[in-house]
Amino acid sequence: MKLTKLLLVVMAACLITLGLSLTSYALHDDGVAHCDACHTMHNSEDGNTVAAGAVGPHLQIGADPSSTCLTCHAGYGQFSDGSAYRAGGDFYWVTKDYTWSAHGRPQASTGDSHGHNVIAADETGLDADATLTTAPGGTYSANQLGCNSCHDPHGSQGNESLLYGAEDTAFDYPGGYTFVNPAPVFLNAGRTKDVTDSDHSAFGSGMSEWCANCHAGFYNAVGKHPAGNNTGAALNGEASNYNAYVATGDLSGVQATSYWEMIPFEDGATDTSGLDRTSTMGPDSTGNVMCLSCHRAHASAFPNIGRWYFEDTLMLEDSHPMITDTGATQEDVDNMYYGRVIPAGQRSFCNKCHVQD
Amino acid sequence: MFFGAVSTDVMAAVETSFLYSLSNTSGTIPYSWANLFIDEERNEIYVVDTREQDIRIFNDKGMEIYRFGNDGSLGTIVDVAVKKDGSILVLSRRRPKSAIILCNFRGEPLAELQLKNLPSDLLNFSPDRIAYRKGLLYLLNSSSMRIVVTDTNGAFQKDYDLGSLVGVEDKKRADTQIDGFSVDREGNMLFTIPVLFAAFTLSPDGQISGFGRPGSAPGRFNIVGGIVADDNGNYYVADKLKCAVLIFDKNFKFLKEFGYRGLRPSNLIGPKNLVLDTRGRLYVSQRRSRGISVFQITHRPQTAEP
Repeated sequence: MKLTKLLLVVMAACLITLGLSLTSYALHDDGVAHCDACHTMHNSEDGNTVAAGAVGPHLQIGADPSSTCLTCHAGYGQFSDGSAYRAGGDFYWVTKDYTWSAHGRPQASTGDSHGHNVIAADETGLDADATLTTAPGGTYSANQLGCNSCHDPHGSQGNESLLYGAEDTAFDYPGGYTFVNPAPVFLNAGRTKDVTDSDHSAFGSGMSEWCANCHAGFYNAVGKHPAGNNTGAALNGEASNYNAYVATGDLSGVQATSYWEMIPFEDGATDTSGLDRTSTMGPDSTGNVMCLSCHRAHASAFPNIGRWYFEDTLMLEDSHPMITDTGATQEDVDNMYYGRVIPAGQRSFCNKCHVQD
Repeated sequence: MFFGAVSTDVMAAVETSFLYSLSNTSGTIPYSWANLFIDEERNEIYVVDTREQDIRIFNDKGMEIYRFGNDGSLGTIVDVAVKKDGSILVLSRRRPKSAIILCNFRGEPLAELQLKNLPSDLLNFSPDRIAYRKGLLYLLNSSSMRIVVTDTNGAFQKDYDLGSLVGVEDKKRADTQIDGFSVDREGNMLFTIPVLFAAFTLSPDGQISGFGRPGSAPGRFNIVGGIVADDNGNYYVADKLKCAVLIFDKNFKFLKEFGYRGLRPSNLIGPKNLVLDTRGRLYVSQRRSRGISVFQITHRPQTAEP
């Protein structure tokens, strides 16, 4: 009760401070400019209280934090129809199950495996992960996962993606969930932009370490692919492969134009001043692999939130969803690789670094 | 001051009552944030379900009478408009430019409408919304904040740079974006910009007016969505976060708001797109599979403020 009263007082102060001004503010400018953009003070109808339980916690107007976020951000392509080629990926994919038969056995690529299963009761299909109960490699409860698990809705860290930093506590997590590693150094591509090889997020350092706040068991553990800012994950000779690789059988590339948005890397920068969203430059040997080199942050068309279908041999011929899959549409097939032209005979994108094709 | 802007007498000038939700024989169709179009010639309502990728047509009783587009033949459907002769224009998302597909009354594709005589700076124009009014097509790109007006054959007539009119720099347009968009009977273009907490009207001769202030008190905007105008000049603005539809008179004076989040039939959850038919019925698309709610709008002679 005391907490609710305190919240009301704080929100009223915000309203009086901001609401009397004629100036219009953009949301999240220097933090959230308007408390009442997401919280409601007057959720009543002609003086009557709205039906009990219909208003989200903390006087949010959405049913829950993610529903509140998606009120705006769904329209920015974060939860669309798969045709929005955003850097993090479209949560649409977690609503899509694909099934097919191979070698006489049923196969599936389930929506659960296509993304972080954020819970948004106001949206159709954004439910808790039905398979996993905790974060793979960690303890974060799947039934508490929302946009607010990674992004601080009030932006206290000051980074443009509102990511939590070291010692921050994930909003609304029962009993508290404290982040150990700081927010990564990177520039996001923008919430409304379709990413390309020349217009993309730019990564400096700390992304894998930040992911390890919830997925610690996957971070440079024995038997795991290296990722992060340490010698084990440095590209070394793989940088030459990355820069030369154009396609299967074509190693004529050069560093100046070798960057693939589909397979980004960190350049090791410890501040954002030198990062360039429009760079087409490939890595040098000190660049490093990170979690997001192979996985998208939000969702993708593929299992394990892969940037591509990890189980294929030939990408064009073997990737699911295929139009013959139950649950697939032609648009899904067209959008799964972000409109990227995949040449016939192209083998797995693992080869961008490893050239085993 | 802050909370004293509402007059009880004025609020009574427009009355709203819930009628029903758009349905088929199985019950209410659980749309989430579908796009809407009213075919005034035939009193039919078109609903675009971008998630299911189909277009359904409803009669004036709110019952589904036809469905098309779900065979993939129209690509990624994003919006629809209907010409006076009943032929259908489907806006389909493609890269690098979206396509306007002319269909017959069955929704069968006939041809692709090509935009002609575009100015050089609009050669790559790619609309994501379409509206039809009195023989003209109004095409909006919500990210670049541009409107192109053509005739029904796609021949360029005029364009409007909404970003410049509102004062949004080029580099900030994609993150600003237009949400609600419609064209009233006089050809005025109505649109909303959520991050500015504002709604705007733009006359055909380029005169722009805006209204709206941020806040959660009655008459203030949280996150605005669709906007339409009735024949009396009143404006109806959906507010997705406030879960209400706000009504303003022709001078942008707040009259009332209705809906509010809840589970009663007359409540609204995340109202986004609005259309108004010729009989004063307001159609409201919502999220959370709440479908399309239909309200009767009734006007009473307005009494003077005390």
